[in-house]
Amino acid sequence: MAHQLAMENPLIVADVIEANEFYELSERYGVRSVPKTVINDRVEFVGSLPEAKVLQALHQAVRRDG
Amino acid sequence: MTIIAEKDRQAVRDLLARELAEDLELLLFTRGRSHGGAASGQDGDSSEETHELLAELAALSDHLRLTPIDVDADPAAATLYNVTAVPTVIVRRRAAAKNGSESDRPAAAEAAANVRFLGLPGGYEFSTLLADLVDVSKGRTDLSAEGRAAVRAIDTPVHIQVFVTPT
Repeated sequence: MAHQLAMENPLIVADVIEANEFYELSERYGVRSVPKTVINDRVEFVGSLPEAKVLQALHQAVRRDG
Repeated sequence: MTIIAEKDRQAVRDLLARELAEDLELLLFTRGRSHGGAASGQDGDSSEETHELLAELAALSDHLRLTPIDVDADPAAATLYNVTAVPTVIVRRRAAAKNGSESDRPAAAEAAANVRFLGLPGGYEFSTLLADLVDVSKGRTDLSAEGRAAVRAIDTPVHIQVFVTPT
């Protein structure tokens, strides 16, 4: 779904990252199970969530008041 | 070396022939091969395999074009597309301009270049790649109308990283 979000808004860059290949990056983000999604280094979740939950996470990540 | 199995090849060709509406470009960022086997064969770097996979894929449809970019030879392109790791694959529409000259367009980001894979898009991710090709080509997503509106309303940069494994 991350790629679909990017398709809808050019301000969104969505990277699907092969965790084994980018081991250090995965370590940095504490990836223990996949899929793990990290948005703006602020909000993260594990697993495939329904659209409403993904959008909730997305809005949490861009909220200016933190 | 063959990556896309012969038995899958026709199915992929049929899918692309049926579903691709617009021409697409696959940008592949790798690190130079100039320094030869040992040096470029760092652990876990799937650049060669990714290149092979995408070349095989691009050969299955006239709508697909593979553009390999060596980040050592062309660091400006890496900067332009904000590529920080190799291999990185970007799926995007090939900018229209059918009457203009295609070859000498500057490598500017005319079309959105924000659908990206870091590492080999193989195994399960190959399905994701195929789905992306169809969606980008058609310019459509499966989001609900409200969801789409909410996503389009976001006016600040967002970076989504999804960690996956191929199986």
